[in-house]
Amino acid sequence: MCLLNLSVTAEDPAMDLYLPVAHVTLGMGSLLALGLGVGVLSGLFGVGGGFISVPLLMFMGVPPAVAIASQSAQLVGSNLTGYIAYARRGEVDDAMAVVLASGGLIGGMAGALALRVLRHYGWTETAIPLIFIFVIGCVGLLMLFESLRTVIKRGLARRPRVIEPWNFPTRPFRTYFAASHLSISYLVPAGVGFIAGIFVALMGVGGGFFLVPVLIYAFGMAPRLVTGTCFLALLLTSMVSVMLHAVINHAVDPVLALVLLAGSLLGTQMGARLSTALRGEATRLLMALLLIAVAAMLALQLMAPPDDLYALTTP
Amino acid sequence: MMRALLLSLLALLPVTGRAAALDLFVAPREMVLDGTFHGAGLTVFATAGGPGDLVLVLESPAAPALLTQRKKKGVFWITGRRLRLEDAPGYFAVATSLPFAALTPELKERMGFLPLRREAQLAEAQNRAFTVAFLRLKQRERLYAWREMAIGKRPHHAFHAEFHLPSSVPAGRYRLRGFFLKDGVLAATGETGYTVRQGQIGFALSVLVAEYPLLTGFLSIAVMLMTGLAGALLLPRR
Repeated sequence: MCLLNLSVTAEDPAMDLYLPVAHVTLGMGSLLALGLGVGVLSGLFGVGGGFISVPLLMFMGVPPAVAIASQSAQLVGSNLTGYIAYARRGEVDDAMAVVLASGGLIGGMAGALALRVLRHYGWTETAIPLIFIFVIGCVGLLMLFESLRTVIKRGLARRPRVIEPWNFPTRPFRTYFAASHLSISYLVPAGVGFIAGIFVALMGVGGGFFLVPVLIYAFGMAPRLVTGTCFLALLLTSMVSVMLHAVINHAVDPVLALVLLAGSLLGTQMGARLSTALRGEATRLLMALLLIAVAAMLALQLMAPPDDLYALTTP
Repeated sequence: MMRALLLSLLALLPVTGRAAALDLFVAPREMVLDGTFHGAGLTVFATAGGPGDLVLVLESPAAPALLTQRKKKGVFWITGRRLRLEDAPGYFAVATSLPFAALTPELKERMGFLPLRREAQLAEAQNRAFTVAFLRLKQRERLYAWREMAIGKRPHHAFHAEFHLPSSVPAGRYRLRGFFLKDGVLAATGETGYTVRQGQIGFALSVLVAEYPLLTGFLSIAVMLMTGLAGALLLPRR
């Protein structure tokens, strides 16, 4: 039984796009719409959108490795536009971004190699959805509880919640981040970047959903600096991830990435406009529900008895 | 048009003095995989030196495949046993002008009736279920086909058959082999090639990705950066 069948073939063959790396033909319109949707999410929630596009691409018949690698390539373009916007306003902590990216480089390598191993053993079809279910399910539930608690507490007392940053060790390799007025061990942000790098390379997601809360709540960075810093860190991390996917997995489909990026550039504008109409809690609640819905959809897909006990893939 | 032309050419071919010859012709000569390709038919014509029957075997180059078996673990269906197939062709089709029952096992073996003959591991009993599943999945995708009595006989000991190539056929140089049987005995064999190639952009990209991965990475990043930069200039974020 297949819960979702999104294999799209446009009625007009001229509008179809043959993806030479994925070895599938998909409707150009559906790919642009997917990119547009990803862009809307990016503009609305400030995230990369890979957590939606990678599962949807897999549902459309794109092999998981190609979906992840191509989405990583799309992130290069979308993170650059985001970074430029914030850099123009001077809202980027460049030093912090570089340190995060240095960890992201190692994380990206680990993620790309892990994907290689999963692909070799034919586990991508089940391991990637399971990782998605776990990661985005947990993040979605945490966000849901957090936003619901904020809404309830705001209803009881109209006092803004003050969050104390964590006390991270300052040694070894004590580093002072002037823009953020933060003095911590180099290894702390590098470690955070390492985890984000794994997300980018192994899941094709931006990692913003992880980095943004860590930088705000754990590091105590000024929120105005956080988004731009994440864009720069993830731009560098996704570039490394693309290189690794190209060399290790031979899975980057530039055509797919370009179409997704074209759609997302337009969608980001729409999402940014939509975000002004929504309050912060409502946006977070919506995002949480979306993450939970995607995780639930993937879980149902894995829980449904397969049409055939055997599956044929390209190693 | 092409079919009519080939048929008239076939009628003109001398058929005397060629007791055991087998000539094969295909139309069109090549197929291009691009966005407009949704599968196509391949027409095969053959002429033999006398009355008899024909078996045609069309196969693509080997395309590595990974066959996995799902098993239930807890509430999820996850990947269980797997088998990697290196030598199996991506596309394989057999057509005959006589019933399969008329072919002896030796003949079938000689013709390569099964595409997995080189996979010694598949002969093992424990992998038999995998073999059956592999062939079933390939047939479902219309990438493998066995059709008996699917070759039409024409005047002057000519034959005509159609093969369907679905949209997912792999690119490469295909091999069409013909086996002419006289009174159930192999009398002649013939072979010709057939090309399925990717469109220019698709071909360039697939070569780039497979042969020059480092360059692919650099180019992908460069294209994404340029597009992102253009996006930032044309559609600036507020």
